[in-house]
Amino acid sequence: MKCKTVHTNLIPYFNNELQFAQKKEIKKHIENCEACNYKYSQLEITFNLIEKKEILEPDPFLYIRINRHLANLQNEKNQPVYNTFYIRALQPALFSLVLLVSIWGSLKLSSISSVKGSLLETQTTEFYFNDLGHEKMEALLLKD
Amino acid sequence: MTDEELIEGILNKNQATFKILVDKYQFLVLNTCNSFLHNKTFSEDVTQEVFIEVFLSIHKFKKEAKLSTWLYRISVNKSLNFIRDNKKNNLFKSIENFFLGEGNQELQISDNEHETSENEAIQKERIELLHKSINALSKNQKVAFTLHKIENLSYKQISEVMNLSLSSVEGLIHRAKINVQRGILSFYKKK
Repeated sequence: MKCKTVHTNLIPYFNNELQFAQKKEIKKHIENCEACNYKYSQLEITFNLIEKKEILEPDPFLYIRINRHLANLQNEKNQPVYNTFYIRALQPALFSLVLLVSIWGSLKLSSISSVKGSLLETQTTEFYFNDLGHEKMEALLLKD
Repeated sequence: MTDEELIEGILNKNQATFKILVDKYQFLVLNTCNSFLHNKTFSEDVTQEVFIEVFLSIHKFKKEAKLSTWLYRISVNKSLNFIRDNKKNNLFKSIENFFLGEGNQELQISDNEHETSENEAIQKERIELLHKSINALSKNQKVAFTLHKIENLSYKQISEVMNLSLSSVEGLIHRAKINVQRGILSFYKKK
């Protein structure tokens, strides 16, 4: 029997699902083939580790921990509902209000500055084109 | 105190009865969780969650069912949820470690492993391989196989916990057994 045939039948052989003749052949091969023997023994040892279950001893303080946790849950439940509800509802409302006020404010400021800017402009043009009026001494000299 | 009396007591918010229930069933819950999680700290945390769930949803418990079956079901669900959440956390951690360059921690762990004796290391490798093969199973196969092979529950009990027919449970366990064996064998074939 070839190693490849043994490999394909190794699991049914391990689970005792083969017919007697085939089982006998595989057994003979495993006994003489080192590689197949290694694979079979590893499968057997590893799979049978399931039987060796790790048993944990319970925590003596488990009930205290559970009780504390339940008390915390109860405290959270007893807190007023509006706390979270109003915070959730008010935060975006307040934010949008501030945003609208700031937009309105900036628009108002820009309109005021544009009016003031035109007044200044006229004053400066007056100053440049009528500067003779500001230099009275020179005007007097010219008259003479 | 019978299970019916325990349930009645907890429904009346009797703390002493709840303590009796915790004491009576914590071994079962803890070891069921550990069969799935293979970690003491995680199993203790999930056990705590299981009993909190029991206390909060005892009114949902159908009195014709067995209390132990209900506890098994909650333990299995909580453990599977923990594994699912932990997988997500591990993914984020590995991404974080990749960007932060914290690969040295793994080296330290592997150095410690070398200190243990060779036999212990081989045994540890075998256990890890077994757990890996079981974890690779589909959800239903994993639950049925673990409850049967590790928790030693009968097919009937498993069918009650999983809400499946006896034949379905039988099929799940058989396929799971073959898949676990394939997983083990494929590892040694590569070697």
